[in-house]
Amino acid sequence: MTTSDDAVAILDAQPEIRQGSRWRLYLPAGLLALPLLLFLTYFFFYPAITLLLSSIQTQNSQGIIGRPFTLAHYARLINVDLYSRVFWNTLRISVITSALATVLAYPVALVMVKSRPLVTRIITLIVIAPLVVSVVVRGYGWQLILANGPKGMLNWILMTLHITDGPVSVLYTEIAVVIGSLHVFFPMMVLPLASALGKIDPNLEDAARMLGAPWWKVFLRVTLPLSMPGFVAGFTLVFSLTAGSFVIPAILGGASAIMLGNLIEQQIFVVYDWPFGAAIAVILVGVVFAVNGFSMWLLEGRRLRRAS
Amino acid sequence: MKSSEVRLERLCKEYNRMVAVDNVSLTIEPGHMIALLGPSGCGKTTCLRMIAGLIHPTSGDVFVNNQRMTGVPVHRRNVGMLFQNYALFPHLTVEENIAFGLEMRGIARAEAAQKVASALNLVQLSNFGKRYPAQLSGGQQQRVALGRALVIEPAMLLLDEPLGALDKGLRESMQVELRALQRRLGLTTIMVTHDQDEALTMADQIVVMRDGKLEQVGSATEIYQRPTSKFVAKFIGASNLFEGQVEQRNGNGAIVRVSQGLSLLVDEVPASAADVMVSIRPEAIVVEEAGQSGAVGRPNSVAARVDQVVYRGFVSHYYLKMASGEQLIVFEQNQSQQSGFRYSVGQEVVASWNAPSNHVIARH
Amino acid sequence: MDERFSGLGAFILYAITTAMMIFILAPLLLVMAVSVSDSYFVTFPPQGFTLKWYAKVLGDRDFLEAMRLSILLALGTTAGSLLFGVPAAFALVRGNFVGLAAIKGFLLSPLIFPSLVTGLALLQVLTKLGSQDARLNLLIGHIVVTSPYVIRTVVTSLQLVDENLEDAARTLGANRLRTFWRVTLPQIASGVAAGGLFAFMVSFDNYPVTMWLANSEYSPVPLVLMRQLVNVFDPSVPAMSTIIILMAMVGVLLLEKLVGLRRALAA
Repeated sequence: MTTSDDAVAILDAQPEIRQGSRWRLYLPAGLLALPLLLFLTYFFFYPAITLLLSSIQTQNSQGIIGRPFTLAHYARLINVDLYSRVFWNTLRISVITSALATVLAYPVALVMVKSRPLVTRIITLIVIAPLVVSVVVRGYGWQLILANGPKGMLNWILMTLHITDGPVSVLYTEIAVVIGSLHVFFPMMVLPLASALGKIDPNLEDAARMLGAPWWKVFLRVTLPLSMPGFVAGFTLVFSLTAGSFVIPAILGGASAIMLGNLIEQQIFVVYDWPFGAAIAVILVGVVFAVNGFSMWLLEGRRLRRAS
Repeated sequence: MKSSEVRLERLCKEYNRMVAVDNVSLTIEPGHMIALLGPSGCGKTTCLRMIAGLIHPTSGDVFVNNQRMTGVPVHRRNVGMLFQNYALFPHLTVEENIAFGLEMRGIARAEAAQKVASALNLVQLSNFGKRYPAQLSGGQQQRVALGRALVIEPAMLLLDEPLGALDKGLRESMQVELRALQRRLGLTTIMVTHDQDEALTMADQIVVMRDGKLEQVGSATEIYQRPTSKFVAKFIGASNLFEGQVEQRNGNGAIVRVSQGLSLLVDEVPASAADVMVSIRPEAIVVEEAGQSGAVGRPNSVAARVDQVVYRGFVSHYYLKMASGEQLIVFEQNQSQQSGFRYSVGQEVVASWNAPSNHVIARH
Repeated sequence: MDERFSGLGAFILYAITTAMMIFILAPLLLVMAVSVSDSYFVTFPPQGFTLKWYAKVLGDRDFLEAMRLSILLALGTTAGSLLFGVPAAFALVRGNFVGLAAIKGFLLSPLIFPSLVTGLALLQVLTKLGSQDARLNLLIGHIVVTSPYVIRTVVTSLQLVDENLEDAARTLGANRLRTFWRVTLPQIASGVAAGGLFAFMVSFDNYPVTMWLANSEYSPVPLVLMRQLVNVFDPSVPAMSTIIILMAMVGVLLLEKLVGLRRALAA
């Protein structure tokens, strides 16, 4: 490194640091989380606890919630046939939607991961774009497709192709709710799956093939087990979101496929029964937490087994 | 440039009761370049970062020109630091990278521009000012990092494995250039490395560290020729180590008995020692054919059989097996006209060396 | 698709994928097609072509008012969730304190909590507090549900920032604040932008929190649309929906430009 003289000259000057403002930021980095922590404590945690408490309290005729403590609202949910049916409806719809999403998302995620970049981009765009379109709009789209009577697109196609003689009735059934939920939450299954599949070393699949496994055995014995974390995450997401949905059953389910979310809304806005509405909400949260906890336990267990 | 004296006093750092740096005291003379050398996890990087102020010591102090630095935040310490991966700001051009430190010091734009130009000139990158770091080669990025560290006229230069990411040829030429520049600027420099060649090439003083403690401090020749511990003897270069008993004292020297076929004539043995460890560098040993050596039976010689031969370019490594079953390593320079090895595997040979090559390590 | 997938397996994969793409696009395309139908009722197949339903929607005071409210609300939510979320994300990545994992879990918990219940619980507390301003209530509720998105995207991009860059800036004389502004923030800019865009879109489309906190005076777009859907049967509803779809597409393309969709969502 040859040095010109002026270069040395600048380095000969006396070092000086500007004595700037006396004000120094000496906060531990952790304190930066404090504002959000306080905000969420006050507007998320505290309300949740309040809701939990009102679910075991009594509402008097003036609408004021207070003592005595009671479990009557929970008992009502279990004992009254109308309400318990909504609970089971919700579970059934959520499980069916998640299962269907799993079966249909695997091929899409595989194609997404293994294709040429352009194809991957297009599929990704198509999968994700609807995600940001209002659920109301998407529900409405399905209402148009599934509309009962000959004006619905599905019935028009079926009848034009002479597959059925008369219109079929899908709208305002559980099937319509499942179709709508599948449409709304499908990306939530594809994305974790694609990310898990993308992490699998392609050499493993090549190795399996060279050891003589046909493609479907490679999938069952290598790809599927290694993509389990994505599956568990996706299933949990789709289940939780479906169980807590309101818009899709409201638009597509009508009176015959009411879910817990719709029941809560009725109790609060129509019947004004806050404690009962709160009890249903607590049950909904309980179901969602149970599923999330179970999936975390599954993933944790896998990690531990691999580590040992 | 004013050179600074850097002094570490009883420096300690603990992480969750794990001791990373253990009571390190050290003085670095103004204008000297020292190397903290040791295996990974020995605490050398932690030491360097404590000098920079990036890590706070659990106890102990860093002094610069007798000023206590404890409590002085990093950005007021005026240190130039080179990072292993260069740490160039990817969103700034070369010029902007170099100007960063000047800007932080509130130096006027015109003056800063002039200093940046000089710094670019210093690191021979005058034509690269408008480029972004990603558009430069590893060696060029290294020079930008150097320019950025020097332009702030630092009180000292800290190098954290600065050349580790460069390939061998470039690394060696950068070592020489960096050393020459440091000498000319008279800049107190502390580098961290796990590469003994780098430390031997560049440093006035080498500080060997192990498990957070200082193992040995000395010049390159001191460390190489007079290691004070088995660890240093094995870590710097290769060593043949023998344990033996002091038998006949003769002034400062003595005869050390290692095994039946081997005794060592040693020039200097500590007065009180009875059991000692002796290190012999592999390049000090001469190998001859068994029948032709007059050294048989004398001290500092041993009969052995060639076990393995490794060709390493300008040297060959001979792995000999002595009668005791122990291994003896010998490095022998290859002659350019010679083809093949002088000795072949299985051949009986005699290895011998001079008394000054025997270096006694006090036994722990 | 490379040679790993061929034959029957590839055919099945492609067939299902194509079918799913049609499934995903069908309702949106249908809505768009019907929106230009020249008929007084929404029917299939659409008849003729007209833009008069767009004219009707764009002249609809309620809809425009809702649009204004939704956009302002989404902007406020974006600003709020960035203001709360970016520093919190920084604390989670660079901080070193007891209970960090627990705090991270807490800050992200609105993501797994059914937002329907989040909104209901918030309504109860806000009513108790006597907070009457629906706009403020909506803003609070939307920040609660969007801040975890900001945290996720910003945490991901912060984790990719080389800490040596920050150390280098500090040895060169920058204090922590200036280091953040000059070095850290430019590195995570696209993550912050993605988080903000996410917050905007989530807020704009949100129904389950909004339905509790809005009132008749202040109803954001999704609520107005839901009301129209029940009461109006002419193609102005699909026209309204199409406007929303097109706005969403712009958002998606922006997101793709900024960070790439997969990265943004898989965060």
